[in-house]
Amino acid sequence: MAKGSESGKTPSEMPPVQSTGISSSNQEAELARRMADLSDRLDTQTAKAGLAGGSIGATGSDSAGMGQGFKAAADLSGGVIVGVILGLGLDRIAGSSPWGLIVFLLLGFSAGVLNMLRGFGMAVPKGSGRPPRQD
Amino acid sequence: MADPIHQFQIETIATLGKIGNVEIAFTNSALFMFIAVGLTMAFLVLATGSRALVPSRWQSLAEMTYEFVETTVKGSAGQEGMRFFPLIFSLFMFVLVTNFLGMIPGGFTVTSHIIVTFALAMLVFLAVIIVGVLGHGFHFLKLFVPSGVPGYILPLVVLIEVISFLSRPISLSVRLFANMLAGHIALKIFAGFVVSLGAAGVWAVLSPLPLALAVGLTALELLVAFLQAYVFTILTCIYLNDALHPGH
Repeated sequence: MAKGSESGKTPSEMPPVQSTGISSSNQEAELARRMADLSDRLDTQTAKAGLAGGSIGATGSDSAGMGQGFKAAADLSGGVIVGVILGLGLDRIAGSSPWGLIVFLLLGFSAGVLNMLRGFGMAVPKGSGRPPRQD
Repeated sequence: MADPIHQFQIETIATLGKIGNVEIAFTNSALFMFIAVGLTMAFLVLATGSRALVPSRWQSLAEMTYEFVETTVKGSAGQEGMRFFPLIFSLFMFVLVTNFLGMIPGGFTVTSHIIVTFALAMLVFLAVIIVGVLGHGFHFLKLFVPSGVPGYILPLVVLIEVISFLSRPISLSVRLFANMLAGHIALKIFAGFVVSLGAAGVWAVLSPLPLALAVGLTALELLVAFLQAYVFTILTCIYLNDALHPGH
């Protein structure tokens, strides 16, 4: 499939002409230093992106804002919906209407808010005793 | 104006039979799911068929897809998460290809139906529970008991954690479904504006405005189609990570 491009690429892939020994070894050291620097910076960026969990488009543009809005809405409504389902189910089984719905709606709302805060990395991550990240 | 909801209509292509009173039909939704799976398989099989040391363009595209998902899995669920790579890769490709198929004019967006995304989310949810219980047994329940919480408030916290856990498949499916549905409706409405403005006499001079918006929205929707597939994948990895390492 890439027949034409491979034959056309050969001149640029030729090894560079060794002009002067000293300057080329200097260049190599410089290149190695820059590559190490770049990989360090990439590592910190990757670690940051991994912690943020799914907010790769958070560059402050409109689409990122919309994505975050949908994320928050889904997290919050998820908790509330589960709370209502559990509350209504409990009421039906135990005949405690409307107390199950009231209690579980409140609990579901708390769970939704917790989900939302976790989604934005503002609450303690599940199961760990670490303090919340300040950002 | 064209009905913006009409594009999500499920249409029966062929009836396969009945189970009880429920009609089992081959619908346009099923057709597009088959197309998505077929395209994915054709892409991967054909692209990696030659297994060249110096990859062709198609092969390097397939390798990039693999490495992209691999990085996501290893970054979120660690090396152990690679056991579930086939599942996660299949989910990613299915969501990605169905999202992109929906962007083709006249195409059907499978992921704009909550029943489809909910089924995918339940698959992930049940996989997490099964993996967690098989791997850790009773210890898996430590997921619901955060450390360092005073005893008198623990029942409340555990209850909230359980509800939060149960809400995962819902928020996972609602997020994908809502993004696709809202995006496609917005696209259809702005495209409809172009036509109705164009037919409205003098107002036709304004019709390039919604046209420009529709073009911009199309680009945005392509981004969202990819981003939502990625978000679905990374959340799957994070949930699997909980199943692999509960309560640490």
